[in-house]
Amino acid sequence: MMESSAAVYVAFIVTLSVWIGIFVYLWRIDAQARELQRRLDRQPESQQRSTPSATLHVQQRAPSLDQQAEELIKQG
Amino acid sequence: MVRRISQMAKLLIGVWMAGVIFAMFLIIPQYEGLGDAGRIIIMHVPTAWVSVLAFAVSAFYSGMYLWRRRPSDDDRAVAAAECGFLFTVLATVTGAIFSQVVWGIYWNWDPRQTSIFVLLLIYAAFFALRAAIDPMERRRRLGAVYSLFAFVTVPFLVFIAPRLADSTLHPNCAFLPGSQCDGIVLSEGRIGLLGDRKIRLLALNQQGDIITAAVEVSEPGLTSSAILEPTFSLAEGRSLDEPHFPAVRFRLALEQVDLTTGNVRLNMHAPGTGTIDNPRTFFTFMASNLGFTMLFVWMLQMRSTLLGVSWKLEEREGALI
Repeated sequence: MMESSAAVYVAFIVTLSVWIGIFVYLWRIDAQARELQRRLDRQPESQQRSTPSATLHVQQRAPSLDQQAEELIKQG
Repeated sequence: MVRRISQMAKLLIGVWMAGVIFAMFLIIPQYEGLGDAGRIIIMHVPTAWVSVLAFAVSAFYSGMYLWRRRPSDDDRAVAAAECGFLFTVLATVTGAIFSQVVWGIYWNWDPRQTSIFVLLLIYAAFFALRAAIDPMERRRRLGAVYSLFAFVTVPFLVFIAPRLADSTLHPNCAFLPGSQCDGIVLSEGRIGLLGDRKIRLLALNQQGDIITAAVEVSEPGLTSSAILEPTFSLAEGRSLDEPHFPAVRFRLALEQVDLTTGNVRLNMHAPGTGTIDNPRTFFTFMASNLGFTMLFVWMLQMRSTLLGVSWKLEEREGALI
């Protein structure tokens, strides 16, 4: 230990700080990933449609442009 | 219970790596010829090792995907390849820092640097390929096939190619027992390449049992040259004086002399030779390898979970539209 210069201590502090930052970042990402997966697994697929369903159902029911075109051709 | 163990294991990784950093800077001794800069080996070699492991895991799960067609296998293959790429970048950066300290230049297109650069390009192409294919099933299938082919190049690029080259500055001999760095055999007036230095054996002089070689060493690019005079003891059968190459910390050694043929073997000796013979350095080095491996396992699990979640969300959104 005695042979290490002051620069080594600075490098040590910097490296340790970087590692602590990376570790905290990984820890948070990991927690969020697990939480997301838990929510996805818990929620049945049908309930996933809660927010966008109204809009999307309307979109599904509305005939597409192709369907409308086919309908017009049939009607002559 | 499993979750608690998992959390404890992750905390252990944090503490373990902090301990490795502490030991790297404050426990292990300085390296002969390299001083404090040589401590970077504690990070450099384990990151390189983990990158090979990660690419192997990626190839394994790619094979499993092609066999079982489970999306989770593809997620793990991609996650492992991403980790491998990241660790390869880390190994390259730490190697470049080492290169600056020892060779006086960050990037030298040394065979080791070139091969790792090619490896990075191969895996960058893997990510580009996946990003370029839209149908998910096709993306996974082609990605898995590419990953298997990419891994075939890994042992060659990491272990074989740099050792095939006669002229690498990478200190394989210093850190990897069993690596062959045989140097080159020259007779008077002949030219050879040692590392990226052109050398010419000018003369051999004998005084008693001591042989002195006059060797002209040219800098890369042949911008300048110097005369070095390594010596060899015939009685002891070993090199004596090993002068430093100009501007770098490698030494020129006269390893063998055959007076009957006039041939001598010249070699480049790297500083830090026998570095991990020191028990403190050895245990820190092994602890670093273990720590980076655990970190890789954690990152692999986390990244594959994230990929799985994002695919699931995409599928559900796709099903709604």
